[in-house]
Amino acid sequence: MGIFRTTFIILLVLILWSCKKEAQLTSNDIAVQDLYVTSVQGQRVDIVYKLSQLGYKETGVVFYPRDKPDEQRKVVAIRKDEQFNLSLMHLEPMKEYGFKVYYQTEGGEQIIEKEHIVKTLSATSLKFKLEIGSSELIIKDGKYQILLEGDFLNELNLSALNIYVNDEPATVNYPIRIAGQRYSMLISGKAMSDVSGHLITAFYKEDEIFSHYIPVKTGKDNYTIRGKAVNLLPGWYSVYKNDLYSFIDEKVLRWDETNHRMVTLRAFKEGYVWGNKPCFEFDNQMFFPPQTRAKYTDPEDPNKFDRFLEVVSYSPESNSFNGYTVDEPKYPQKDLSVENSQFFVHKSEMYMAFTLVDLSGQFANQPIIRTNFVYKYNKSRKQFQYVSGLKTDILSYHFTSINNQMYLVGLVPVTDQGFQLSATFGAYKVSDTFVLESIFTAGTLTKPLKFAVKGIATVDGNILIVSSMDDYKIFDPLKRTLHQVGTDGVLSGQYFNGLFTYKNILHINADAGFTNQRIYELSVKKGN
Amino acid sequence: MVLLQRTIFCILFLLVCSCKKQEGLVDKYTSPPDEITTLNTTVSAAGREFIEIQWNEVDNSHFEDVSYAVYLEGERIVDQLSSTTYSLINLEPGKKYKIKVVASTTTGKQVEQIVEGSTLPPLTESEMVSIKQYGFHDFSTLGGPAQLIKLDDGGHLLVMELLHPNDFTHVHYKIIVFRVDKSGQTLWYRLLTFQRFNMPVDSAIFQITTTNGDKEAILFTGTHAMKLALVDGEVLMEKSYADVLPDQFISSINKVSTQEIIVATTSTNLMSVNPTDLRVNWHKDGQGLTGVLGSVQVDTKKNIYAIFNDGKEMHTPIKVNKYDSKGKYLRTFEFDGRLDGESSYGFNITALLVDPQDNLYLFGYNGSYDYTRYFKFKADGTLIKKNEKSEYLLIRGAYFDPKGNIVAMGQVNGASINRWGGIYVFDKDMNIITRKLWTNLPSHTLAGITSNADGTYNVFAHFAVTNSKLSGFVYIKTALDGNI
Repeated sequence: MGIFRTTFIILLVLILWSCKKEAQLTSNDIAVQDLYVTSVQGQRVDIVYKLSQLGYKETGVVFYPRDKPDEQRKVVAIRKDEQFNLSLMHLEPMKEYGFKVYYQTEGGEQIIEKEHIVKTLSATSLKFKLEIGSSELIIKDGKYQILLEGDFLNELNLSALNIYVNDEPATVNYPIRIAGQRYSMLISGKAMSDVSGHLITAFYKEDEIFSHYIPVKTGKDNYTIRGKAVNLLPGWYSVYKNDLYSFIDEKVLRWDETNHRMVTLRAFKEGYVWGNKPCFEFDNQMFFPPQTRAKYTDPEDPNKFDRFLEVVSYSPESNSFNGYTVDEPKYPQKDLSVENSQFFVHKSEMYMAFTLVDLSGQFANQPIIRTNFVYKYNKSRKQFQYVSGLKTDILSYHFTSINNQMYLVGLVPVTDQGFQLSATFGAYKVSDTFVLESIFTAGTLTKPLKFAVKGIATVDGNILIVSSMDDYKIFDPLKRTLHQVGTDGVLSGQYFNGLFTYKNILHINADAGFTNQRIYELSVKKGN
Repeated sequence: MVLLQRTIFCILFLLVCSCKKQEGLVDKYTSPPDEITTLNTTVSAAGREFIEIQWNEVDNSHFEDVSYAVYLEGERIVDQLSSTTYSLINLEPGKKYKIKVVASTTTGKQVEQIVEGSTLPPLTESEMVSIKQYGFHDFSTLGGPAQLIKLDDGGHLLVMELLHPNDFTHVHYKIIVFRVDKSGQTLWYRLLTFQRFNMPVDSAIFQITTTNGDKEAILFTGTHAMKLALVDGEVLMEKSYADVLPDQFISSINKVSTQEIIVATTSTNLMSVNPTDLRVNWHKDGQGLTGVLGSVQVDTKKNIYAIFNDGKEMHTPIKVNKYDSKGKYLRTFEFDGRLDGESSYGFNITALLVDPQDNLYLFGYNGSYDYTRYFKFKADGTLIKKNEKSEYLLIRGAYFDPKGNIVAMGQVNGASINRWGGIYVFDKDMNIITRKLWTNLPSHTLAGITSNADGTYNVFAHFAVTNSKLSGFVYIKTALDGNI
């Protein structure tokens, strides 16, 4: 019993210790999100923001006149419904102030260096004390309506009052008394679409007397992606049976979780494979993207060669590489380059899709010639067999298979009077014989939706699209709808270096090869 | 002692008497009447949608607070006002309104006055400045050299370049021809490739004219002509002149009649084209001259004139070639563009006009100082007038307006990269009667101007992205005399 009690206590301590360790934060873990200056007055500025995650004990801002940065004051924010509210008060009219968000954790106080700047309004604004009467902008019959409230609005010479919503003049109506000296005033105008919010500004006899921002509320159908930085050594990673592999510096490396280091398994010659994209795991191999290669036919003449395409795989079990020549159909002996390539599994079979682009006409004002190919990997014969050419113009494309149905997403042409003038996001349903059925084209001819489709992953039957490290979208292939995915502000980076699933968690690699490389675990949540 | 008693008695008696007298006084005070002074209300300002009124401060003889109420057509708009100015808003233009001001005290004393005020009349078409920004797609922009003509219905036909992304092709330029109505609304647009005209983008020169009673337009560019239906932009006919005009491009055209369009080229070639079938009536090669012909014109005797730049001299001189009606070279006129005391650093001569009396007018600017140059001369080359002092407009084109005056349009250069459009209006004696520079607008580059019969102008210009109203390619219909 004594041993059991001791063991139990040790276990309890260990659990508590591990919990505590889990909760420790680094300074980069908390980020400011959705910061808005919601109201600016002559002596007061209202601010709201969110923090990306828990772990803080206190948060607020430090603020100062921009011409006297040493005169810092601190305001502690109040949290209401996951949003922090605070007001900078007792400010001077018509003065520029800077402020920075801080938060306190067990580790101390962190000031987020990003400076926000706000300028208080004129002293005239003090008399009227304008504020928004309703927290939301009401849109009805293609018109918006906002109620402004303030003191002595009856005293305004209305011909000298100009109110703008997102820089467009608004229609002003006569003030109506609410009580005592308090009045309300309805302003209205034509509703604006595709705006993230409405900035309402009022000028009275040239003085700016009011400025207020109303963010557009997002619906519950929206998605949010959260990132959590993980402590992996910098590098490019591929996954095989839940082990991390890396193919850099002409070495095959595997992550030794026990000893927390990379173990060299073997070497390979320079240029044989490029490890800067995650490999695709299938048939006990890790497949690398296809590469064009040249086989020289005359040792005396470097201009005589046959061009062919090769796919290389690495077999971890045997610690060996395998080369697959992909030579049917025959490729023309032109200056060809693999522009886009991808492996995917559909109905337990692996397919490879890639695009060859003819670079020879790129300086001659000629159309770009792209040829798309799809191959199926024959497990028993260990070879790639040509299945189809992709009979459509599509860029940055990606296949995926969801519930035994293939889909293809990418950028499709925006065609006007027969000319391909631009590109927009498009999605196809793909039959098992690779017949394409267009199921979605984003935007319109005049206003397409063009974004880079750099990587995709399947999330709950939907297609998560990575456009950049801070731009994600979800395509629902059944509802045929595209959603912008909100980010939590933690995910950052200039370069996207691929998605990989490790221990059943989707990971994203950013800025690989740079000192600021980060790898994040990703989770997608529906709703706000 | 008795004396003292008597004295005290007397004093008491006097006091009693005096008291009796005070009890007998009547309070004759009367409070001043509770009055307020009169109102004197005036209309102090009016716009098309508002009337501002002012009134004097009304005083109350009892020092009660006075507040004001304002009524519009009998309906109370505001009360409890302490200020003496108020604006009635959201009114109709050009309408008379009855406005009543009532001054009241807290005790109910009131004085009121009714005044009549009128909003300003709505803008007439000639007073109204209208602005239309053109954009055919979110991703494309209009640019390059523009050519435009005014159509009989008051609308315009324009040809210019459309720049677009090159996702699926290395090509990211198209030729766009589009028609707008007199309010600037786009009726249709037609996209064409430069390859179709055998025309490199860098050398794009567009020439456009109408034919067949404004039912068709003919676009010349490269060595190619294309006829389009003005109703919808459908391509009706095409003709290549590559075999007739080798190694050159069409640089200028002039529709002389329903049977003839004179075409000039970048290699001193002249050609006559039949607008109906686009066939060549006649063609003349350079006749020993090499150089670029521009702004081709025809006089009443069907002599042909064109600005000539042979490119031989480092500082381009001012030359005009004269040809007979079949394109036979007759002679070259040369003009000295220098003002007193100036050296010649060459000239950019851009526009040539001929009036019904066969006087010719030449416009442009000098190459070194960016100053205006203009000349009037006879058909035999005799100079009638040239400018004697510098002007700032860099003239890029000219035309006769409906009154017979000459409108020269161009640019003025400001500090840094700022550019503004403007016009000089000349009478036939080459006196400048109007100078209008649109320096009140954000920096812009003029694409073309036409005149309306009422004295307003149609201005087409490229604006840098400066604000939401004036960015990209914009049409502005000016108010009278070019006011914007």
